[in-house]
Amino acid sequence: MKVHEFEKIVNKLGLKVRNSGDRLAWFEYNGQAVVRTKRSHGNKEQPGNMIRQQLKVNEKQLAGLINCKVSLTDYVDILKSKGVIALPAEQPGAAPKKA
Amino acid sequence: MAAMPQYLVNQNLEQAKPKFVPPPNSPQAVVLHREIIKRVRIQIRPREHRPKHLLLGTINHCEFRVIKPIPVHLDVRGNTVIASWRQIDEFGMGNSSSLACDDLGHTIAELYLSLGADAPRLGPDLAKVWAVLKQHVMRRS
Repeated sequence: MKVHEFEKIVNKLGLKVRNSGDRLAWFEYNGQAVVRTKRSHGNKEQPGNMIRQQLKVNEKQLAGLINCKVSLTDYVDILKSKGVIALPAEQPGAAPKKA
Repeated sequence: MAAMPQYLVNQNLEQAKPKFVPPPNSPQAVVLHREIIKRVRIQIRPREHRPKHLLLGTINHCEFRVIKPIPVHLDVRGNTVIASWRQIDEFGMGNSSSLACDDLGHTIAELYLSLGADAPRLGPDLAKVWAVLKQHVMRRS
């Protein structure tokens, strides 16, 4: 993965970033830190496979994130389906859904 | 004309070489002219490859102590070695295994500090990462 591809994902998902020994980035949803990733400084090739695992997406989804096929909403849905984003608990008074 | 060594005067002569004198009372290997070496056994060891897995017992950060070894997987991509802790999907990179492990150590320390600071507002996945991290690493008091 190239550096500009990483930055494209950072901008698209609105990841918060902090420069330390590496450039750290993390995704927040509803005030919770959900996933985090990093890249090294400089223009070295980044390990796309490791970054993909940190972002909890498969290869196709990662390609979609870089190529604009997967949007922020899609990404949130992916994380919800994988249980990375906790779904809101049902309220006790709410009526159960009919089958 | 001052006396000169013979090999300087006559260029065809070779320079006298020092004689090898074995130390007295030491075991010596003696080869007799009559002995002919018939068979030579050569043992070729296969090249020792870079290990794919190792256990990291320390991290390169003075504030942290490893209390349980960290299982590290080493992977080579071109000229770069990637050291990864697959249980928490964390990695470090470098030009050699040790540099990659150093980078991984720094990353782990950084992760410990940031997750520790955000502990109350971590998602389910990062909460698991934080739990695993606390099992392996502790901060020096």
